Amino acid sequence: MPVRVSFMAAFAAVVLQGCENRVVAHCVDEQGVVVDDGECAELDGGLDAGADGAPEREPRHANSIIVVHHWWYGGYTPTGTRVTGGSFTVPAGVSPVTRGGFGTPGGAHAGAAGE
Amino acid sequence: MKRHVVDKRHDWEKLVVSQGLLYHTSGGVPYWDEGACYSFTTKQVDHLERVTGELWDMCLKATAHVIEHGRYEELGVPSTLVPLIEHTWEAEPPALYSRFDLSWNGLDEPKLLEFNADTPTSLLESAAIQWLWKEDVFPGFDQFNSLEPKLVAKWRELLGGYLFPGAIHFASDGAVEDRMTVGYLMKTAIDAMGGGRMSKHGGGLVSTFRQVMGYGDTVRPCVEMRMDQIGWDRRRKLFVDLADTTIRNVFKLYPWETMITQSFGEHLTLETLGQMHWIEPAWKVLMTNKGLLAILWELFPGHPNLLPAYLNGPSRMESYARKPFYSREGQNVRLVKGGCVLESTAGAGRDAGHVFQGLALLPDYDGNHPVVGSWLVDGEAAGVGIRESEGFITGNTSRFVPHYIDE
Repeated sequence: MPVRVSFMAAFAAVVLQGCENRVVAHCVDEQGVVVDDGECAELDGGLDAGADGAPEREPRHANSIIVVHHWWYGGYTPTGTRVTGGSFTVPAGVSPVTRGGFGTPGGAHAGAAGE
Repeated sequence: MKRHVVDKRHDWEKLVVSQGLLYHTSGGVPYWDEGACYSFTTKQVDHLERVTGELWDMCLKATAHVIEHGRYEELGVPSTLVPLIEHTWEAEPPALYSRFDLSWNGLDEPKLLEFNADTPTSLLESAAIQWLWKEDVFPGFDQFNSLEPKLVAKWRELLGGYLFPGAIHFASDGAVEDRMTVGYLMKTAIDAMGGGRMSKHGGGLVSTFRQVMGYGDTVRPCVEMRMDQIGWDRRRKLFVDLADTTIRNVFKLYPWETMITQSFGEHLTLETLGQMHWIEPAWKVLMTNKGLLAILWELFPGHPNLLPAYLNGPSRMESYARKPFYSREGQNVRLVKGGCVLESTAGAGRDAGHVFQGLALLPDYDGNHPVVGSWLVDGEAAGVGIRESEGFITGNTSRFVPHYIDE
């Protein structure tokens, strides 16, 4: 069952991401629900897609449930939400690089870094 | 140790800005204060150098003790940092500099207040700005300051084989002071390589230099950037810069205990550490943890340069300083005297625990309270930087005051 995300939480996430028009890669389960990227970690970011263009992880067993994950490319979608549209093949020009995982954007200095 | 009131140089603001000190004044309050200075005798400097060396040895032993006995949880060290700490402690990747903060009046024994070993700042003013001031104002006198030659020598050593091939990156959170600190370190790396030319690229600085080390000419760029510009390449599983070039050597003016909690913290693994050097290395997070003060007191009780310190409360002390393990720039510090709060500061920071250190109020010079910052490069005493304030807690806005050696 898809997880409902409040409109304001999703809107705030989009504003923070600033990626309404950007193509991003999300890891989704076989129901098309966005999950943690770690579930697709062993996949090659979808960038070296197989013949069918839809790379998938070797099915693994979790409590007798076989779970298959894929990389999906489309607009930003919060974790727990089912994706719509987009594609399972890598669009041209998509970079495997993400940024902003360290540091404070804007560089506001309140003595937090230096000592 | 004496304090003197002196005349400021004519057009001092333009002068220090031209030397890189863009943050000489903040909100109308002077940070660089050349209307005063301190003086030491040669004998005092010699003593300070000895004490600095001894404190460094003790801190190494205390750090080794924490690692050998796994006392991470007591010091609020995130468990995800532990493998990185232990790996870098054994592998000994490059480490550069650090700074002891001491309470000292030149007469009694210096007392260790804290050790800034991961992200020390005030480097530019300690190494360069105060030297240039001394050359103008006290040209016939010396200064306890060998920071620049020692940093250049250290970079030369690192360039001789301890760094991975490729660029050296210099990253900060982008604040002006921090950019100037990493910019200064970049300069010392450039000097070690014999200079070169610089160009601007995408908001930071890209410098391309020829490294002449006897192995033939090689080009080793030096790249300044912000921490949030560091990229994670999920295909190659490594960190990259704005040009998507692999980062192999990066000096970061950014705390380890913060990095590990951020979204890229999950990529700080032994695998990525095997492909790149982070300077300062992860084990420095133990030295900079104020809980180490309690470990020091435990291992060296009664040492003349240490203050009593405990982890779980003030013990029987009625006068003490309560400091968060990861406090920086005097944030969240509380001074208690005779059971009453004397002074306290607010601020953000991780609530990982506190150390309770015996109270040693900073000496009073006509209402000014200096803290003596004793610098080390590669574990060797390299000079002094003094910051003073009206209060007893040294913070981000405490003034930097230069010094000279009087006799």
